[in-house]
Amino acid sequence: MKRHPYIDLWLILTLGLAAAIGVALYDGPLQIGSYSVKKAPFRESLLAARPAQSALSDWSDRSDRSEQSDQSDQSDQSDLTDEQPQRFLIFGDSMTPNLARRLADYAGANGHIAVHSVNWDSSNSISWAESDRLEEFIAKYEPTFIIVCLGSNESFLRDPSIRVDKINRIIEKFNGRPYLWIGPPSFGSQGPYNEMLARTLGEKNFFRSDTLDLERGDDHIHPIQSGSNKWMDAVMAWLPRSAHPFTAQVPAPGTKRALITYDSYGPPKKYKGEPTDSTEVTEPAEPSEFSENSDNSDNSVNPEPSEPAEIPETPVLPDSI
Amino acid sequence: MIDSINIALENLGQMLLYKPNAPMIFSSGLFWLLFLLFLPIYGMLKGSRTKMALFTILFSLYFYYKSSGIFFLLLITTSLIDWGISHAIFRARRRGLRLALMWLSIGVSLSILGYFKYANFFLWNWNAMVQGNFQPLEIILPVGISFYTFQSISYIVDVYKGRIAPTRRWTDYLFFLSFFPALVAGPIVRADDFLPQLQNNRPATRRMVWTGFWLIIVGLIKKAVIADYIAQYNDLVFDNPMAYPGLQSLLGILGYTMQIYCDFSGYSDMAIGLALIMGFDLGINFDSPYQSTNLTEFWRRWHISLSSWLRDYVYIPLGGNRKGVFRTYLNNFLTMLIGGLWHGAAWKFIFWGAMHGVGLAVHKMCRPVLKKIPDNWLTIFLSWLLTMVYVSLLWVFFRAASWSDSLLIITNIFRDFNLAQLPEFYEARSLWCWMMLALTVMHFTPRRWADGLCDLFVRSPLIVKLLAFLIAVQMVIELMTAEVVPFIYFQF
Repeated sequence: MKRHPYIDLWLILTLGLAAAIGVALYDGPLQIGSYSVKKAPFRESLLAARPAQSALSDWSDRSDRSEQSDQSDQSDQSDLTDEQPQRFLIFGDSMTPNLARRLADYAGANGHIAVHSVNWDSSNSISWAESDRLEEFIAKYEPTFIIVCLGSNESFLRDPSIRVDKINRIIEKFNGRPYLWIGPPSFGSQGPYNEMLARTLGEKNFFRSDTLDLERGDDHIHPIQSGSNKWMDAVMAWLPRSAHPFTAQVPAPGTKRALITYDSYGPPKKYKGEPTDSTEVTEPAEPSEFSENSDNSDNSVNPEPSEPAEIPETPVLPDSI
Repeated sequence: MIDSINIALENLGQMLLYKPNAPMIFSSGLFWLLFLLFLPIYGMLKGSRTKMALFTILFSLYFYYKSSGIFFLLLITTSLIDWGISHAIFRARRRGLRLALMWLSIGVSLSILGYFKYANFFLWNWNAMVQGNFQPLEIILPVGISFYTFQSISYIVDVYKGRIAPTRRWTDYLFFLSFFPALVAGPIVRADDFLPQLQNNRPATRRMVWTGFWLIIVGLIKKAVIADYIAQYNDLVFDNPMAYPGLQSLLGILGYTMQIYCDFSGYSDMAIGLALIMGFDLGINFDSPYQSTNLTEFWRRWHISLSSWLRDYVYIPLGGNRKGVFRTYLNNFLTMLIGGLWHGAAWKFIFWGAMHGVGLAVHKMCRPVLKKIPDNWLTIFLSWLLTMVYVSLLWVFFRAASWSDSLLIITNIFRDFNLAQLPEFYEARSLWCWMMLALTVMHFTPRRWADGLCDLFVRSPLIVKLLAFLIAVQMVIELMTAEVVPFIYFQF
């Protein structure tokens, strides 16, 4: 007597789904040769409370600061403001240099030491997580505060959770330095990328930019300088609510800009590959000690690089930023 | 460990409740977990039509609750009204009364549909005309209401026309209206096809089960692998059209043309496959529509259940081709206008439908001339190209957010088209390109080849079927999206 086809079908469906769930619940990566098998998000769906906790616990010393900041939500945020002069490293995609310039205005007005801008065109979290470029610049500039401007080249991802590991890897590279991640501006309808960043980084380390209306250039993607100024102004206005506020009074017109350096790289050809070109524009040697009267911060002595040098060439594809 | 189990149970409980933005669709893991529970019980109850029907209705109503919350009560109410009126029509002796009852039922169905789907659209237009201050009503559109409303209308009209007798039991009608494979996004099931199958209640044959399973695998790949993947690029083009030059815009349009086909036909395949497994034949809903060499043929191959419904319940009652040449063109136009409006409460859908109506009328008008042109590969190719260009360009208006976006995307093609960007495009989006190429090849594969492959699958050993399923599931996981992407036709 033949089995009912429903029995066979049921067995196949059960085995198929059991295999998918089994792989999803298996700890650690599953490799077939060099190929890494992707897992269904059963674990995340079923144990939703865990990823957020583990992401937080991974931050070790940073989490203490976050918790401290969380607890003081209702207290005066100015008590937490770090009044030490900062040496900023701001890095990310092609939107970075314009933001860095406005940051240097704030740095100049608030007695900070310097702003080091590193932009890697069309880069995303993979570029920075899988290369050693970040370690190189942290070693070179020894920043006391790191600002990330990254996400525009992957904000369209419908499954941004695949980048959580990369983002955590980038944060690990900071070695506990305070940081702030500036999220991508709006590009029409976006997936849940910003939610992923907020969940992974914590609300106090992440500035959400997709609600801002920024003036853009001819490509309708990159904010022009006035748009970037508005963007950085919004970040600085939000700063007291962040995990590690620093002094950031709005610069008065005519305030001298702090020392700023630029390192610029072309689009990565491959995620793991090295960029094909690099340009470095270094302004005056970093002052050994910041002084309010220091002429070193006067960028009139060392003019900013011209627009084409700072704003990288037109991306290969309009969605590469 | 215990904490994890508690969290898992709590999350599972939450997953089973209605969430407005998380409808249960056939490509979701939750659906298949529930189907695993459904199938053996359904198989055991299949011998008794009453028990099988009641159990399926409960599952269907839960399925609808999961997608539309409390509106499952609206579905029950609609079925009660229809069923009651259908019996009143059947018993009425006077033709006038029968006609009045039919219009009463159609009026109720269309009023419900009109309120939920079109109220804000009409209010917005009215306020624009009188320059009033428009405040949209807070109306949630019940999922699949357009589909089951059309099913309900066809049932009532068929009863009125005497094509079918009303179901003896209300539960049979509710079974027909709420049948979960076709509930939220079609195909639009016709009572005269479906109800006899329910009456007969024949068990699914081995061939039906495995053909159904094959269709599910194919549909899953079309929808959850191909359509959702190529959508990522297409969305970029349509959401920010100013940023994309000619070549990228053209590829975005071609991408969307394939995406909407894979999305909707993939869903239909899964729905038809599930129904086959349950022992119901819903027919086919797509027949390689992009092979068409004219617009009339396109509409015989695209969304067949809708186009045949429009033909039988709109075009023919309007007079069809029986009232002269001009009325034939006008009837074609009006039918497609209604078809456009059915797709959504927006002018862009009306325009899309109207332009298809114009295209159909023009094709009919030119037919005497076209018949004189000899069929050879060149004329066939040119006819196909013209049809594809027309259909693809109209998809732009269907998809783009606004009229100006549509025009911008189309004019971009002619403004700064540069074929030299193709290698760079390929380098950046090679998988997208390969998928599009594979789709095109598959679409133009002769039907008998596809049928042959299905036959091969049906006759293959279980281990092959299991492997095919595992590969399909893993392909979905590899390219899956974090958010469940509803079917494009989901809200229509």
